[in-house]
Amino acid sequence: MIRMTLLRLAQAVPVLFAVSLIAFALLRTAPGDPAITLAGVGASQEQVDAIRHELHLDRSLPEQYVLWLQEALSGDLGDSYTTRQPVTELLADRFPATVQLALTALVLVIVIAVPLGVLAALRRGGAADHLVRILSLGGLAVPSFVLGMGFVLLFGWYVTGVWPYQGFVAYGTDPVEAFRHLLLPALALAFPQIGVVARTTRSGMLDVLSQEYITAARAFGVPERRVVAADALRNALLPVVTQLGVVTGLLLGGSVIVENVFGINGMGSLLVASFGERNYSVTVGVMLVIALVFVLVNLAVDLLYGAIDPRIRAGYRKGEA
Amino acid sequence: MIPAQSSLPSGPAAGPERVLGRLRAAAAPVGRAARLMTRRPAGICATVLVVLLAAVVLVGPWLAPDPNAQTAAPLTAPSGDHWMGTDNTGRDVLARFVAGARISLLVALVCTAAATVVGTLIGMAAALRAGGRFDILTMRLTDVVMAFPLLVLVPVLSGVFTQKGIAVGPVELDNVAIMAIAIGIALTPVFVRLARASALAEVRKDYMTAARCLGARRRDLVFGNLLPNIATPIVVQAAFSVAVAIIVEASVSFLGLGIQPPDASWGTLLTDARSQLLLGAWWLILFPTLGIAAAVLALTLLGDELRDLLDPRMRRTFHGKPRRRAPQPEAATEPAGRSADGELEEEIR
Repeated sequence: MIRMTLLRLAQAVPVLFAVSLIAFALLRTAPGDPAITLAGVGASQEQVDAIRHELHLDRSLPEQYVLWLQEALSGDLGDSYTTRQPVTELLADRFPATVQLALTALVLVIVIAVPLGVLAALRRGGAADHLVRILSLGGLAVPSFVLGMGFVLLFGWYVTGVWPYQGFVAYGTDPVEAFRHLLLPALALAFPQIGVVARTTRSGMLDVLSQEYITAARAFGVPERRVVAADALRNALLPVVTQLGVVTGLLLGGSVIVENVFGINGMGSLLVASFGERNYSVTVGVMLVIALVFVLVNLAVDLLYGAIDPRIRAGYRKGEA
Repeated sequence: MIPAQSSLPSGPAAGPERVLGRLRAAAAPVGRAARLMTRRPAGICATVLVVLLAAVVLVGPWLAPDPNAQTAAPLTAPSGDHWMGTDNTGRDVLARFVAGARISLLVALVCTAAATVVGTLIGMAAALRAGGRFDILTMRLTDVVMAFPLLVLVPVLSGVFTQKGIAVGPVELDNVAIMAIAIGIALTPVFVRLARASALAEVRKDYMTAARCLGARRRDLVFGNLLPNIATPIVVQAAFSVAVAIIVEASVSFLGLGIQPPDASWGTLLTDARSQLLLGAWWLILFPTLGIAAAVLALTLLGDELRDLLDPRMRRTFHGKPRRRAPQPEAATEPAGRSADGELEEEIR
């Protein structure tokens, strides 16, 4: 397990390094001169030069990258071009909303999709099975932000005053209100993934249920409920766990869009606002943080998968992976 | 691979007849595919939707009025005059829907086509030098691009480059082109991986070794033998990728970072709808959504059907009955082994 963890970590490092290189390249190709922008209107040439020196813009590009990376690693992503707030502060401000939205959506996906998939597998051709098929096609066809707009139209125009459809309350301040506010955006965000995960659960379940050890368990007179819940489900969930890693990434990316429909001040609205102000240090900061989380989530899923399935660990021990 | 011409009557056929015959031979697989596509309900759905969308894109603009003309009263619900209603500045939504379909589908098709071609070429090249420097570099690069969620990478790329502007030589790229490039870059790694994995599996097979031993030229080996055998999963993935591209375009344009107004795309139509939601303008959101849903469903069903049709295990049904070979007088006198070799040689050439 330790060997596997170290190997996967070692693979993640060069990727993160390259991600930082891309982020830096984008920062430098973005239009406009950050020094002039930061100095503000009516600044003297000396002031601009002073800021240029402070931002290391008077050095060569490789030097700039090394200095920028050093600062980024120590938690300094520069200042916002407009408010001069440190970018990390802004990100720390907005990050919780996005994470809470994505996690709520993830919980919804798991709570809805897994039981649905199991039901669909147990009664093939039944109602749950049809629902899974409809959900997976519908989830593909209707993007989450469109569904979100449908919710806003429904609760903002047709049935007003029943359910909040704008704004964000943190779980830390008021859990009940937080859930009420996050339910609609999380449902919209989760919808495209529910069908996909339900389908994986269904096929995983069907796969496992046809295996001999299940027949053996049944022959020994183990109650069906236990066969399904204890013996089959655990093995059927392996592919689902892998998929949840991908799903988490998609939810994080999707929340960038959905936040803008529901007026949630998270990373997504920060990203959009940063373009409006041509505030590229913030743009790149958002991109870096989301990529970092995405890589870490995938790493965590790989490790989790190894923890559940001994065969994967064995593969790493033999050096096959 | 038996060349298509071999099934044609050779000999002194008249010019026009020969051209016609060739055309018929070239169209035959299309007709067969069309017949097979319409055999199952899902295939019929996909075919009908694709034909409808193609009609909207190709014929629509000549029938629909100017998408930017502010001729009607603002925010009227669908009626006989304006089948999809009007938006908040009095523009006809149907006209904008048709113009939007053109841009949305164009962007999706162009970027997927580019990603498919470039990704497949890179993937095959990586597989042919598996473990080499190029292979390792490419795989790490795909890791890096895939380290960004699609809905973060595409808006950042298109946003930065739309504001900065890129020129290829004297031609300044507009944001439709930039959007297509941004989505294309984000979609390419999937094709690189897919082509590489499929090619790696094929390269080890006997027919490839045989072709190599017979001294086939590299170009023929790759494009004549390898490519046709890895094409199936790539074609299927391309169909799904067009669907993904449509959704990504709509999402990013909705954020205001993709297609810029007054150009219409299904995404920008939804941006317009967003500000009118609390006025109950349901028609502004319904119709672009239907457009997106129809296109995505069509392509997903198409991808599923293609997968079934092109699957090697289904190939017999796809090509109909096994092809009957024309009797060749000299074949009888020659030893069987030699004729097989000759055929193989011909195939490589």
